[in-house]
Amino acid sequence: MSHFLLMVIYAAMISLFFALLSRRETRERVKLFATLFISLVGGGLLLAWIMYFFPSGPPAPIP
Amino acid sequence: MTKRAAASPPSLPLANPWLAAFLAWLLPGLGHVYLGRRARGFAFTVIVLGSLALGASLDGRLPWHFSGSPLLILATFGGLGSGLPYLILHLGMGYAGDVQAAGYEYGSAFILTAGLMNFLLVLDAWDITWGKEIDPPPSDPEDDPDADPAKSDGKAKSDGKAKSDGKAKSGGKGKGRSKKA
Repeated sequence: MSHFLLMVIYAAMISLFFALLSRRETRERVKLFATLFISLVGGGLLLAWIMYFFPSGPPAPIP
Repeated sequence: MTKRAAASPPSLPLANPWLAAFLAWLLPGLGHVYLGRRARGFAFTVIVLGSLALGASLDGRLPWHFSGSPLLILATFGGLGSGLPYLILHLGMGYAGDVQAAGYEYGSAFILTAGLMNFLLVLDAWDITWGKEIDPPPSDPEDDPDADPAKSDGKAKSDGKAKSDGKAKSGGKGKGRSKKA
């Protein structure tokens, strides 16, 4: 399984759990699920994109 | 004692909070089923056990340390939140995870998350028995039983139909709720 797919599954699971736990109405649950899911996946992608500017590359030579 | 009795919902006068919390820990969702929240209970069972099973299928770590590094002890405590399935995985099936597996890190996250989610379910089951279910933020005047009725009416009118309809649907359950601590 790819890392991205696992991240999406993880985000969906967490979002569903908290939506069911903390909201009683279906509409509110869907709203919270969407907010959490988009935040988690979007945040992960944003972090990955920022990391693009900091490639690991070869280790720096020891002076 | 009087305060607790007043906070208990009338529909669950005999629910034992300790039993509810224990059942919730023993098998994810069982505490909610015991308290009459069957649909939610089954949904929680699927989510938490699914997370644990997926973590195990990815060969994630199943922490089992009671001495040594404090972080490992903390991880063990977190993982043990999954209850009986966690014990079965470790003691019954001898599962421990494989540090060389490709999915080790992700699997460990899934396993630990399952335990932590179930701890929240234990707390939720405990709260339900005392009539303190988690609900929308208490800042909403409609949700606060002690709020000024005049203000609540004004809010309901200005918020539109959808919100007041939703509250009307959940009004039956809310009667037994106490004010948020």
